[in-house]
Amino acid sequence: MNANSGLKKLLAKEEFVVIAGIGIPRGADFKPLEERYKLLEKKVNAFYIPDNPGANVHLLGLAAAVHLEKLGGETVLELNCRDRNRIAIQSSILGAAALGIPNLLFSTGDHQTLGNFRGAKRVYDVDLTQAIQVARGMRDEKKFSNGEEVAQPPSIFIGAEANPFADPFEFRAALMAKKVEAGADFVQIRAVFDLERFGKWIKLVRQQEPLQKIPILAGIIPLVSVEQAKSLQEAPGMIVPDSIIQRLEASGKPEDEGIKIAKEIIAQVKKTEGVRGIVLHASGMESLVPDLIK
Amino acid sequence: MITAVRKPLNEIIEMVAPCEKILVTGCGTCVTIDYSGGAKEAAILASQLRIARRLGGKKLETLEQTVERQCEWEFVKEFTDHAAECQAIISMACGAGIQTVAAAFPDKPVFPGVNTRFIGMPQKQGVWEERCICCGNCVLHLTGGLCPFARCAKTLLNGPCEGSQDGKCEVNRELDCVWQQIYDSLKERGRLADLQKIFPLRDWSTGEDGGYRITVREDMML
Repeated sequence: MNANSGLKKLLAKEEFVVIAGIGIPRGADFKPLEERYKLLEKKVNAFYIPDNPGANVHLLGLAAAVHLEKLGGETVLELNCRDRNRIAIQSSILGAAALGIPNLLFSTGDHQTLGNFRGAKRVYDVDLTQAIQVARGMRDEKKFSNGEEVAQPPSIFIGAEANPFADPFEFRAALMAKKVEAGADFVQIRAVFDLERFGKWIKLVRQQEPLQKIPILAGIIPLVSVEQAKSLQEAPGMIVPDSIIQRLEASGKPEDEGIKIAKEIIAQVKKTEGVRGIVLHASGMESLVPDLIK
Repeated sequence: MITAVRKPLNEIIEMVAPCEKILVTGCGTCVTIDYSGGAKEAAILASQLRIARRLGGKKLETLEQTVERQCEWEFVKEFTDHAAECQAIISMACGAGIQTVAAAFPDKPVFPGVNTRFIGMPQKQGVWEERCICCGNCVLHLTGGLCPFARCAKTLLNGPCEGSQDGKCEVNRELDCVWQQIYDSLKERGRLADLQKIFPLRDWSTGEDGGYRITVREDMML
């Protein structure tokens, strides 16, 4: 089957895209996924399916993606480099494409020691840039990474994870250019809270020749409590400015204030050159999404 | 050097429980320099085991012997006389030494006295850091003299992951992010352009993924 990316078409039409990150069940049951899907059905352009996020076991992303596609939702399936070697990555690409998953987002993957299975063996045979290069080679050159021919090339829209809030900061835009040169069609960045840093990063991105036309999808996490904000502040690769924590603390209703903050951030990223959409990480908070994107 | 740390005493007590007389062997090279398994540490372990046995109301006899390198046949042969008197041997060498002793004395139980850690160097007195995973295909000329396989928790070759912050690794904020260091090192050397190259997939079979490795040098054979 040839997958057909609605995301690709929307981005080509210069439309601002809204993707919802959906919570993946931690049991052998699609019901929780269906319930979350119903809250978001027809309200967003696509669903982002995280790949065992936080290095914790969740239902297989590919299975969740196939189920959502059956229900009528377009999906962006994450494939990380933590859990699969080059054999499994290429096999996953073929399987996903054959099952009609149109968009694949490649990521490095949270390190296994950050989750609840600390004794797990690492893979990282292929890094993120290489994974994208392999995917592009399979699609455009009909070649596996070893040069063998792919019988039926996968029709996929290729995404790369990037993080403006990680270091070395000066290298981040150049690193993103590497991912794009390797074959990324779009870039999904981590959650934006620090607009000043985001602005500085965008300036560096604009200076990189390969990044002039790349669609950037900005991550958005609605904050619902001071505790959640503080925990995100401690999470690797995140920057949550103290001013945001102070606003939540000063507010009588942190959840309302969190939505207000998220709306402000969405408004700001929406008018940023190069940003073509948002990815709302609303796992467990799916009910907040309709209000956020009004 | 190869670095090691002494195994917990209780583990070793359990291993030698059935024995009345054991040989505790040290190694005179790497584990002597890192204070984990040299002559001094062998003597300390032997006395700890004797004391532990006596506290249990029984007796343990120990012999101690340290050779230059336990990872070579000609040196471990020196244990032959003492080994003949003992029911088991504790080797305080690295994993290579322990296996050489085990192969040289096939009729005796051989117990590890240390846990071998890594190939590294003493960063300062009392602190050792990993530096090499023996990948069999060195890239240090490309990465500013810092190994992304030994020192990046994700063995990344095309740049840092999305969790590196303030020069620290996402795995543990006590660890330096080697990609920050590689960036700084290449910047100082005026070679940042090197980082823009995309490194293709790596052949890991030159390392531990290709089965255990044997180096054959015809020119050195007798």
